Amino acid sequence: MERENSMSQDYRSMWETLGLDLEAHDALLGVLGDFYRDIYLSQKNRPEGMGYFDFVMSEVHGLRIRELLDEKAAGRKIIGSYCVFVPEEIVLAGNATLVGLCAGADFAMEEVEKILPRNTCALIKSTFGFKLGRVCPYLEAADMVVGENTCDGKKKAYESLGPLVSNLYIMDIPQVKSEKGKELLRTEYFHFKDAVEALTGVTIDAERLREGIHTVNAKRRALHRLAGLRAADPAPISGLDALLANQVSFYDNPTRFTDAVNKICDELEKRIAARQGVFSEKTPRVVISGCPMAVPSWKIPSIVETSGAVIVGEESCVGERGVRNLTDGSAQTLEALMDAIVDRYFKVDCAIFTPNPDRLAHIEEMVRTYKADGVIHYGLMFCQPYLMEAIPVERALEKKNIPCLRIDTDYGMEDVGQLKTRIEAFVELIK
Amino acid sequence: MNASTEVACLLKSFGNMAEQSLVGLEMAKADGLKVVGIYCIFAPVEIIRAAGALPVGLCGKRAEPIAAADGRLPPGSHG
Ligand code: SF4
Ligand code: SF4
Repeated sequence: MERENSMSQDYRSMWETLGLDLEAHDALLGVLGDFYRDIYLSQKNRPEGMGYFDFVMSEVHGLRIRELLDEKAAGRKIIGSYCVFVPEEIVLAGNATLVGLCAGADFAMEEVEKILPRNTCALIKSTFGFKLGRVCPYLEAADMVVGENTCDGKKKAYESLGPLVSNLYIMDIPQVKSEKGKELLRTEYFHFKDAVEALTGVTIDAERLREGIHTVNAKRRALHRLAGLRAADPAPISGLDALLANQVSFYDNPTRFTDAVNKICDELEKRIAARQGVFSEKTPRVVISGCPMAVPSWKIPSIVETSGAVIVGEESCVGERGVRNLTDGSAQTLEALMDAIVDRYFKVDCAIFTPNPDRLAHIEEMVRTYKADGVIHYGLMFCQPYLMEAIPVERALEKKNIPCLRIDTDYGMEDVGQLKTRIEAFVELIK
Repeated sequence: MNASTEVACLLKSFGNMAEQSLVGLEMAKADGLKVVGIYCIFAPVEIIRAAGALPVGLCGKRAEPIAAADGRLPPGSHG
C-alpha cells in the first residue's frame, strides 16, 4: 500500500512536470477506471492473458508514460499521431517511438466548442478536449505531433491545433488511388523520413529501416493470429478484449506488445481445442465496420456483447484496416524499402479515398472468414467519409443477404437506451 | 424610360432567370452545343467555353428537392 502511494506520488510529480491539469486529470482517471471496471472486468470467461492488458490499462498514464520519459532521457524521441497513415516503420528506424493520440471520450467540451464547430465528429472534438483540458500525457510528452490531411474535419482542425502545440508536422495524403496519388504519398513519406531524421539526428539507412519493418510486421502478424482465432465457434475471446488489444497496440512498446498478444493466442488455441469460449456456441456473430474506436470508446461493443451477440472482427483502423497488410522488408536498398512502405500504406482503404471499393470487398471477406451473421456499421456523427460510405455499404451488403445495422453515434451516453433496443432487435434478426 | 424604370426592368428580367436559362439551354442544345454541368468553381469555365460548350452550375439552390435525398445521404451533409 505504501509502495502504491509513493508510486502514485511519483506519477503526480511526473504529470505536473508534463504540464497536466492534475485535478482534471484525476477526474478523468477516475471515470476511466470505473468505466473499465464496469465494462471489462465484469466480463466472464476472459483469457488469463488479458491480465497483461488490464495491467497496461491501469498504468496507461502511469508506468507507460514513465517509460516514455525514460526513453526521452536516454535521447529517444516520441512522435504522436492521429492516423494509421503515419508509418511506424520510419519512426522506429529513426530511433523514435510512435504513440497514438486519438481520444475516445468527451472532455472540456465547452472549451472545444469555442474553437471547433459543434458539428465536428467526436473523435476530433475529444482530441482537442484532451489538449485544452491538459489531460493527455502522451500528447504532452511528444516531441513531434503528426497531423495528416485525411478527412476535411481533421485537415482543417489541424490549422486550429497548430497554435496549441509547438511541434505540429503536417503530412499530405492523397484522396485517389491513382499513380499520381501514390507519387504524392511517396513524396510525403520521404519528406517525413527527413523530418524524423532532423528530429532525432539519426540517419535512416536500409538496415535501420528493415529492422523497423521487421518490428512492425511482427506486431501485425501477432494481431493477424489473434484475428484468425476469432473465426472459431465458440469465440475464444470477446470482441471487447480483442478491441482492447488493438487499442493498446497504439501505446505499448511494440515488441513487448507482440509477445503479449502471441501469449494470448497460445492460450486461445488451447481454448479452441477444448471447445471453450467466452460465449456459448452458436452465439450470433457480428463484424463491426466503420470509424476507429479509440480508448475508451467501448460503448457499442459493450452494448453488442451484453445483448446476446459476440463481435468477431473489426473493420476499422483500430482493427484490420490498420494492420491487415504487411510491409515487404526483403528489398536491399533504402529507396526500395521506402517504396515497399509506400506500397503497403497505399492499400489502406480509408473512406477518405474516392472511390473506395476495396473496403466493401474487405467487409464481405471478413464476414466470410469470421463466419459473421451480420455487420454493424459504426459511424461517428458528422463524419462525412464514413457516414457517406455507410449507405452504399449497407445496400451492397443487403443485396448479398448480409444483414447490416447502421449506427450513427458519438461519445455521449444519452443514446445508450435507444441503441440497446436497436441492437437487441438486430441480434434477434440475425439469430 | 428614366433610369429607375430601366433598372426595375432589368431587375425584373432576373426574376425568372432560371426559366429563361432553361429555355436558353434548350435552344443551345438544339443548335448542337454541348452543355457541361459543374459543381465547383475549380472547373475552369474558360476551357469549357473555349471548346464551344456551355458551363452550367448544378449546385442545389433550393430546399424542396432535399427530401428526395433522404436515405441516400447522411443527414447533416453539406452540399
Ligand atoms: S479512418 Fe482514415 S483518417 Fe482515420 S485513422 Fe483511419 S486512415 Fe486515418
Ligand atoms: S471519424 Fe471521420 S470525421 Fe472524424 S476524424 Fe475520423 S474520418 Fe475524420
